Amino acid sequence: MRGSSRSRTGTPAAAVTAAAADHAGGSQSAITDVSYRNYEGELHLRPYFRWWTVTVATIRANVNRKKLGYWVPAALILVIYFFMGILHYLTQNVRDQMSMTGAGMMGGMLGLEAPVNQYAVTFYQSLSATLFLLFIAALTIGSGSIAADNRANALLVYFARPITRFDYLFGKWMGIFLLLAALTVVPALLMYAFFAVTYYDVGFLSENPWLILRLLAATLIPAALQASLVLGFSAWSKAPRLAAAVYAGFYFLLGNLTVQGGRMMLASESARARPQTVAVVSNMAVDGVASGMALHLLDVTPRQVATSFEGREPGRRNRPPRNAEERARRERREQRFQERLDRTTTERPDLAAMLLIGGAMILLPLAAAHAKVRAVEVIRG
Amino acid sequence: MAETPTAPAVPSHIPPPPPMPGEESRAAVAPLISFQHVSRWYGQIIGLNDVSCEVGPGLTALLGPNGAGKSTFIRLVTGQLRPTTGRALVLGESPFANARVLGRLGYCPEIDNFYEEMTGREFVTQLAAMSGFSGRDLKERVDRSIERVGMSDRCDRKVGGYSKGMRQRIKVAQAILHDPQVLVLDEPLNGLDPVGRLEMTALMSALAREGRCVLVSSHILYEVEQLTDNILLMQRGRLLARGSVRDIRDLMDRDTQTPRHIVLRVDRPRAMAADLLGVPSVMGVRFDPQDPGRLEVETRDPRAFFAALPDVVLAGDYGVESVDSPDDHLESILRNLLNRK
Amino acid sequence: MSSPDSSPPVTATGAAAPAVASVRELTVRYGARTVLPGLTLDIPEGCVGLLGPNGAGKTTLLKTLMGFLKPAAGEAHVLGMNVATDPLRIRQRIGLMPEQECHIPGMSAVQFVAYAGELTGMPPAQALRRAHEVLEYTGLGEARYREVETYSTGMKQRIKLAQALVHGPKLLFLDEPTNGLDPQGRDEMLDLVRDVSHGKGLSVIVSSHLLPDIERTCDSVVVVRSGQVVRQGLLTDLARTMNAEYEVDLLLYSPAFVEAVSGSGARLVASEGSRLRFSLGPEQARTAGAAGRLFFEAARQSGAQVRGFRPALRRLEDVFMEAIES
Repeated sequence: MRGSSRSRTGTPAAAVTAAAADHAGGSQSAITDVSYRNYEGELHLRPYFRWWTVTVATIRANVNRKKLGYWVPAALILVIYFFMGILHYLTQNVRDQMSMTGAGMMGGMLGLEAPVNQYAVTFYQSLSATLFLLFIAALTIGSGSIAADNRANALLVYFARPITRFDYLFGKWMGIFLLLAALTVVPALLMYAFFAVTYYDVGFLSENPWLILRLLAATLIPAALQASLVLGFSAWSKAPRLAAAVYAGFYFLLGNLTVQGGRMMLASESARARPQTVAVVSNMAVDGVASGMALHLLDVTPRQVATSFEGREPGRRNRPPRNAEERARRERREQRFQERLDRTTTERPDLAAMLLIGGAMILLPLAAAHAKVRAVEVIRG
Repeated sequence: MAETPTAPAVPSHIPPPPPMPGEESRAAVAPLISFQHVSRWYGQIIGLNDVSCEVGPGLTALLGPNGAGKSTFIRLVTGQLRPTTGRALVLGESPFANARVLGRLGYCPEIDNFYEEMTGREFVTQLAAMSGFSGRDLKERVDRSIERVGMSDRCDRKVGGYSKGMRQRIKVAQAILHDPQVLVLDEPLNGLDPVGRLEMTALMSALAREGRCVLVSSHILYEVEQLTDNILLMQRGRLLARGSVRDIRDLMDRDTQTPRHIVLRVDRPRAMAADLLGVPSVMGVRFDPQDPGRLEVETRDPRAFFAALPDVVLAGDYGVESVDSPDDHLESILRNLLNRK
Repeated sequence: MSSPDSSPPVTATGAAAPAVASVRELTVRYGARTVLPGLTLDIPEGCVGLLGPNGAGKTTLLKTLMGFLKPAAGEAHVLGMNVATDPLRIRQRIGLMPEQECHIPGMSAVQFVAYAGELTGMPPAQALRRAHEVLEYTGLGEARYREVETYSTGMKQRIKLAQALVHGPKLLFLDEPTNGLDPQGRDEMLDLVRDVSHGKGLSVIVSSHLLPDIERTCDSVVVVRSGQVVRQGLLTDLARTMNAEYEVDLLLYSPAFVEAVSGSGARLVASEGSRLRFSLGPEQARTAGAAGRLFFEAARQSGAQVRGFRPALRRLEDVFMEAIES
């Protein structure tokens, strides 16, 4: 009788209580109290690392398959570095051959500099070729970072907690900076590894031991610049797309103005006397500052960069022109080369100026963001 | 307590609404809003499902849970939408893109979009100008409506600095500018402190007494209870109930499916419960383990129960401290209606 | 400074209830305006309602208690910590449910609440576990993996409560908790507030304009006006009337009933439709249950139907209005 009634009750709770009735005074059975319990666990307040939570959340929010604007540039950057690496490899061989066959003297007559730091030149060229893609990535992950928070009123959630404005901003900045740095540093390190392996025997590592550090510095700077700027623009907007548009406008406008300005100054007669001014003006934009700093850090001159891929086709160079047409073509090519040389500034922009402008580009947007992110408006009166 | 106007005093400059085609004109209480089998879809989602009702002058409350179709109803009345089927008529005509109707209709929306840089007065003036008023008439109307909502002393500050209550009042001011005959207010009591709420409800009652049709949508039931007896209850796009709350309650009583609960506080609850079980209209009694003096009685025929109660009390000489019917409150009535089937 | 009704509330034993927050001569300036001119207040444990007209300084007080505004003079203590020296630690122990909509974009409910917990200093694993617990408690168990942007108004209110509770605060600030909720949602939210503020080791301060909400959830109230406390006390104390007055609801107004009642020594004070208010004579007021007998006798005599009666307590609305107008 007992057994059948127990099976008819059915529900697990009934079974539990029935079992409890059987085990007189038994303490094996229990019904869990699922009403609200207050949390009494640990709550630490790591004084110098509060911002880290924000950083981790920023990174996690941006590293997902949907963010094509990050992954596509990432892939393209890798492709560019790969391509430059191959190109370097091919021309390096050729240059070595050239110097062995005496064709190098002809190169010297044309005003080419001795290709001492060809690795640095390649690093520099790869970096400057990928700066625009870095901008695209920064736009994707950065333009919404504070703007979306503004729109969703997330600051109310943040600042009711024990974090300060500094923690919030620095956390966001660090998240974006790390994501962007991954795009610049990783390909560069891969290329470095490639060179190390390939040219180990010709003294790649021994000749220039500081190169890796210089490379790291040069690649981190554009990441820092973009992170600060995009965050500054994001903080002042409630719409991620608007922030992106404004930042893009700023970037392109400044970029065009500085490059065109530099070119115009070069064309005018007075500029010849002050090449340094031309250099600074040409390098005042976001990418310009990054390139300028890279030139200094990697110890490369613009002339070296401009002439880095000349001296190819030793066989063809040495052959006399076959007919008038070919002679004309060769003359035109040399003329263009000379023109390009003339157009290039011969000097690196002044380091102090670059530091100043770069510093402003990093600090001013962050200061602006700090001013805009106001915690006191948590509860509106 | 609700006041229903006996003879609506229509201000003279408002023309009387035209009689409905094909209906006997009941001149004194002509329906200002009339819905005839109105349905409205948004793709697959149904906003209103076959709603028919008439709203006349006076204050009517539009009630229902979120997503019930109240905002669709309001948008149909204010001419922002057209019904997919059926006819929605305001002042006898379809309000959609109809300047004649819209000129006599005032709308105070729930959303809060202002030009933050303007002052309150400027904002109202701008809207008045857009409605076609100008010159001296414009100024007078603006002043009058600002004064009616109690913002005369604060209307020259920028809207950006207004509290929620002040913004609410400015919205109402722009809605009553043009002396509308039909006034639709969506959550007008939102954000007002108790003093402000009192003033706003007084204003709404006054406007309704002047013969306008004031339609108020609100979640704050205890305020609505005091404002009006006339409701429209919606749920999931359908009109569940309409008319006077008292009538609805009586209808629910007559429909024997709805049990009524009455709470008594008495010195000897168990003894009294035993006596009450002898009363035929009592369906059940319940005690409260936390509250020893509390006795809850369930009945299907409250009239009979209350008629029998004095005899029970006096015969047993019980000391009754209070008798309450929580079911009488609007909240309880709505809950019963919404949870049917 | 202190009006007769603003002494700190006492518990049943007569001792002063421990204060969960206290301010002394607190002066707070907002630019050139002095919003709180020397406020002195003790907020007791339990569920406290904070009332006052707009612009009374409630929000400024809350901001100061959370450590966002520096007092120009005086001091404020929350949970034993000084607002001026320990603002961050205070914010770790309190939770805020703001009035406005707010959430962290691009996250599901669980992620959001867990993140909120982590920001308060919880270890990530605990934060996640606790987020699930709190979401279940507030009734969002079914929708916890959906993005917060897809939530309805009622759900957004609940998630605001969840993010305020996740780190186990000792003091909870609720700003208009039933904002935008339909009656059923309001019911459920108020039940949650009542449940969490009684017996769970939490104190709650509710700031609301809806007085029935306060009546339903709070044990005591503080009424502020122009930066000063004008009334404070337990709800049960404040609701007591001086006289023994009773409200009676009849089915239909009946003058015969009024006559019958008046004949026994009670006096009609007010009438509104079928709702009447009587003031009892001293004899009747003293005997328990005498009022009931009186009304039922009168009903039987006059043939009127009594539908309800109760001691006329002052509603919170009356208390509030009185306090404001004084």
